[in-house]
Amino acid sequence: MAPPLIQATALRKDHRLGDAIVPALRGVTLTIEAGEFVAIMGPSGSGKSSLLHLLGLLDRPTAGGYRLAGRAVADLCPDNRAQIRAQGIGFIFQAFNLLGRNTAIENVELAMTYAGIPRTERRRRAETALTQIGLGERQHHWPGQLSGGEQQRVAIARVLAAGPRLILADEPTGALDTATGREIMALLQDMNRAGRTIVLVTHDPAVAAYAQRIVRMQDGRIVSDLPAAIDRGAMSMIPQAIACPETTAS
Amino acid sequence: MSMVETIRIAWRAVWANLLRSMLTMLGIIIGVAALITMVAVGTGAQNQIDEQIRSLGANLLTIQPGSLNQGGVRLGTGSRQTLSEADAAAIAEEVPGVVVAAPTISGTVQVVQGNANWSTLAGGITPAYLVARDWRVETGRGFTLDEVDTAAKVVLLGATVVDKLFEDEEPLGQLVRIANVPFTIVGVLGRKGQNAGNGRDQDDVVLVPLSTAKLRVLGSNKVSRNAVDFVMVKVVSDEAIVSAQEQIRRLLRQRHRLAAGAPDDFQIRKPSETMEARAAATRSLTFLLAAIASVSLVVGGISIMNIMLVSVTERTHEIGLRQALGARRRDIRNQFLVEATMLCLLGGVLGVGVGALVAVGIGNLAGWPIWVSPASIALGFAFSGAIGVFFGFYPAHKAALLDPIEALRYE
Repeated sequence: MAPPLIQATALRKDHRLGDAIVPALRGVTLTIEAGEFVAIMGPSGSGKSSLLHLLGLLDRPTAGGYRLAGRAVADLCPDNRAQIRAQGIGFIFQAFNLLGRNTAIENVELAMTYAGIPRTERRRRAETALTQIGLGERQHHWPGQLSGGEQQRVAIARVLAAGPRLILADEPTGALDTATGREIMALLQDMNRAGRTIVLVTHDPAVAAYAQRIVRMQDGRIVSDLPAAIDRGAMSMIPQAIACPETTAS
Repeated sequence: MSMVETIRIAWRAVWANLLRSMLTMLGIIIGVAALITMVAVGTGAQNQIDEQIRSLGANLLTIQPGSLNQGGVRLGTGSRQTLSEADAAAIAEEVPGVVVAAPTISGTVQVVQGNANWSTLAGGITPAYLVARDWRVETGRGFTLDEVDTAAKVVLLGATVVDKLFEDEEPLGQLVRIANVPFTIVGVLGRKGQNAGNGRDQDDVVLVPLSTAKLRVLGSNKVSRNAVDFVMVKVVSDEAIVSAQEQIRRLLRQRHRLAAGAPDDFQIRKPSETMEARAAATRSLTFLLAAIASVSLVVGGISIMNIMLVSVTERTHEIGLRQALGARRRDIRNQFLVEATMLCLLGGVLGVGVGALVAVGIGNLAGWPIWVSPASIALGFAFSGAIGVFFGFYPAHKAALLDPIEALRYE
């Protein structure tokens, strides 16, 4: 059997704030199989974003082990981590993060540029991805000419075209209205059905509802890790865990 | 990521901020333009001096008889007739590095052609003279050895003399009378222009064979039939001049049987000496000007670094995003390094253009000789590129070391 896509063991992360050391993760063990759609929930400061950064190899754990598709990646140097990010991990951010001086299609091509995909191939895949998410007509628009929902779709096309196995989304609907948010989540769900693994950080139960599995965090630890159907039942018995709506992503 | 990709990204960044890019480049443009202009002016002046030295004859030594000391009264140079044709032959034969040694006598004569006449300098020469002075015969031919041996009545005219005596006619083959002796014109000399050393018109001259000059024009010396007024010696190269000079001196002392301690009865001079000093001074001046221009290039480089640092800070978020998308440190570093180098090279291109225009403008306005050398253009490019790499490295390095998470959070 293939190793799990994500295998994190006792991950710890301390942040340094001046002289003080603030622990963000206090030992997180988490296994995610390929093809899963996992939502990580928790209140502000619970460590969910820190966890996502570690899973996305944007950061290095203070302690603990991390295997990505069976490969130990916790202690890789920045350039090796960048290479894995380029080839196997796609990010979707709350703030879309498009480059304002590049057109939609150039933004979609950007991730593939760093993966070393040749130019014509990039262009072809970017066009396909933009058409697939319904922005084929607007591929030469600047981000400033697109609505929030369209910008986020461009960001999704950026992931789609690069075709990573693992997609990490940090509050992807946080800056969108409910209807647009639903469209975005539908796109994510499509990608998951196409076989991609998605790990999503959110505080919105409606967004988390798209996932098959919900991991809840508090104070740098996982407090529950249940299939979505069971989680809904379980959480109704612990109301304080969901009673803290966030307006900003940490 | 490939270099082509990096260059494309850098080009976009330069193009996106066109005004700022232009202002940033300004320092480099001015620096390179100054460098090109200064070097063009300096090189032009130097070429002019080199040209003058060449017109005199390159690597040339002149030997004249020494002065006479008679009862405590010293007479001028050439007052003794100690130099002979045999001396010239011995120098040509025995001193290594000597190409030719041309014994020459000279004097003023009246040249008559038809009803025109002209007073000019006459030189009695051997064929070696034209070699020594790098003097071309424009039309016709030089003297043959036979003509020198037989004291033939043939003459070569300088360009000025032709202008004075002949209006539109072809002088070749015609007769002129020099000291009442008819001479056949066998050639016209190429134009050499003014002597930069003494201001004399070098083309105001007629040349006849040495033997003919002695026999029919200037008359031979009363003391020695073999005496000559001076000997021109051409040496193979500039480096060989000093040793040749010393060996000629030793040879002549020996031939003239001078006792040790007795003063030389001749003088060896290098006619291009003063001009070479001028050339050296011009060269130093060119270097000085280039150095000053380089200072402004360095200042331009500092302004590039300044703007790149601002640019890195401004684009921290973009850097974070690129890193999240998989840009390695070297991708980020190259992006900014290439951008800085591109700014400098573009500045270099514009600077070369501006510099060349200014140099030509100065040349036309002030009437100076200007020479925009390919070497100075290459130097301007290389220098501006090097400055881009040097001053772009620190900001680029700083960008590459940013932490992706903090960079992404930066707004």
